[in-house]
Amino acid sequence: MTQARIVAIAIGFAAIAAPLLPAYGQHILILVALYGSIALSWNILGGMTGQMSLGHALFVGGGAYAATALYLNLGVNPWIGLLAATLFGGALGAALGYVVFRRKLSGVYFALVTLAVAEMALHVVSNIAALGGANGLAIPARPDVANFQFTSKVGFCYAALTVLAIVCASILTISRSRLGYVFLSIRENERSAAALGIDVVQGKVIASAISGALAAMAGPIYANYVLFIDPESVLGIQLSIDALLFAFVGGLGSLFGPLLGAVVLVPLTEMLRTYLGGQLAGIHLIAYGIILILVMRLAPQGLAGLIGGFSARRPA
Amino acid sequence: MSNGALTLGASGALVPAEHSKSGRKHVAGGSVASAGSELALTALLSLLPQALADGLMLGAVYAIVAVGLTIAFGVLRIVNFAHGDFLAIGLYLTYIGATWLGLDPYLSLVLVLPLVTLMAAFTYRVLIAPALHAPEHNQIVVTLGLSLVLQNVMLALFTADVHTVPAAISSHILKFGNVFVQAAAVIASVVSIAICLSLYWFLRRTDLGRRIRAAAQDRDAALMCGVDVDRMYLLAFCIGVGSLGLVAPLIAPFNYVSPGVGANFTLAAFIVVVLGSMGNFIGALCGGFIIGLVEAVGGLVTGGSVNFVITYAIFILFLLFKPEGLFGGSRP
Repeated sequence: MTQARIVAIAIGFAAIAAPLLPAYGQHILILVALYGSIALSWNILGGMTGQMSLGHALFVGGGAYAATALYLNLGVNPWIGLLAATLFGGALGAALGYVVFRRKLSGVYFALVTLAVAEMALHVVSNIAALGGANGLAIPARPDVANFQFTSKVGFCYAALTVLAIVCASILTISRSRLGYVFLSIRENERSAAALGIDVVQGKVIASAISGALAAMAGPIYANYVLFIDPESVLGIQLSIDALLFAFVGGLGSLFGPLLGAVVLVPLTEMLRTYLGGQLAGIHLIAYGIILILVMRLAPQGLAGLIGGFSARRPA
Repeated sequence: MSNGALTLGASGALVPAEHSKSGRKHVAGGSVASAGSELALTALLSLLPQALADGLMLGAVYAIVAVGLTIAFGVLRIVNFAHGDFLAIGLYLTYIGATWLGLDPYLSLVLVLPLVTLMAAFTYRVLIAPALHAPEHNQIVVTLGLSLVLQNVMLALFTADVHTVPAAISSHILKFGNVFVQAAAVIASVVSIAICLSLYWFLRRTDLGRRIRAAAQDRDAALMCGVDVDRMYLLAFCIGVGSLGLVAPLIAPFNYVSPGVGANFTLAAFIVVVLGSMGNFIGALCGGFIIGLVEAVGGLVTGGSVNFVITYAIFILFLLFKPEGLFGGSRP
């Protein structure tokens, strides 16, 4: 309860503060909300259900490409495109989960399969001319709410915060339903879960589908915000690593820990890049690596685990 | 996405934008497939021996990189996502030796091998040993973190510029009929195979090798028999990663050096290791040649980067339907 309340208050506060922030602050708010959404969606499969994915860029990129390609090639309205992207992400998650979990892959094998599928998607998209190939797709700037393009960053703040709120609400609903306990039992002990009559494969497929659908929602928002996507930026391995990095640093065990990871790491990244990025390219990634190793060594429960009251080993 | 990847696209870190093969200097007849159909077929056939030779060379390098990964996995049961980055470090050390000290890559071997092995020992003590009893996903995350640090430290020190290592032997080309191969590539693959086989002999026939295998098979039983398990783990990790210090100077004359080159090799090594059964030695050797040949012949037939799709497809199919690999799950 407390966790949910804190997150709700934080999102509400961010929504009120968004118009008052300077443009740079709004940019960071958008990034935090988008990365937070992606990390939280990753956590549904990776943390709540215990299946570590190394290829979540597949869903984000799939969503971004679905909406953008529909808009550019068929003139489909981006709002409908957002819906289509979410459905596409869910379908991708369900299909991937169905194939992989029925073969009983878990642990490092599951991580490798997801990594390989995402990498393959990157190479496939790079070779499809209708999707812009390796050059990517540029969205012509036509600022209009009907086009999902806002004249100021405030609009995107609200769009990103709305996605974040939807993701958080979904997680809360799951954790309070029977499904949340199904996920938890799969994570803690698959065999016991199966012995209790839980359909383990079905549970994992559902987790994968929900995780994919929610992650895919962030894709179109990003695409419309930047007005450009290419395979490397939305399907690349770095995005997959970012998702799991924020989740691990924030804390897998807690419901909203991954959001905490994004709240702490994204501004840190931006600061490092602003002040040191000029001299040292990739400095924020060095910091990521060090933080990740330190968290694993010193606080395996993540930041949320450090803040006692915020953490709960089981979904509250 | 935005903050990570926008810089990353420009910097080229971690992202395997150029797969290992495109990182090589000689890509013989890769773009033939675009020609007319009948003409293309004859051209393809005439280029097939060249592609096969390229594939074998590439395969030998993949094999030795994968053998290192599979030793570490077979003995320590730890999946090292930073494996290829140690190869990149070896390549940069070779590059430094060549540009600052004027050392020929083959001479810099005496410098690179001990340095990379030392780094491996240090890594084992500081990162790997404490993580050995952690949950599997924590181990993966620790090596991923290490990979991020190594790649981006290299990026910060050497920039994203692609370098080549000057070597006397680079320009030597051997000609067998219609097939041209670089002498350096031949040396590298012959030595790779020799290292693989001698490592196999070492693990199978020597007393030390037997102790390493004992530690791998049953930690507690080995401890009771007086095997210093921790030391064997350290040794196995140092051999697995240290072998990259031996390979790096050998492949330097015909490979580009860039911060991202290691990630390409890590991915390739994972594919090879799964194909040849995790922890299996001979499997890694054969798997290396299979993947090398698939990439080279696939590149000839399809052109462009479609052949990586083929490689990944093979990898995914193996993971799904034969995760134990071609050679069963036997340990080294």
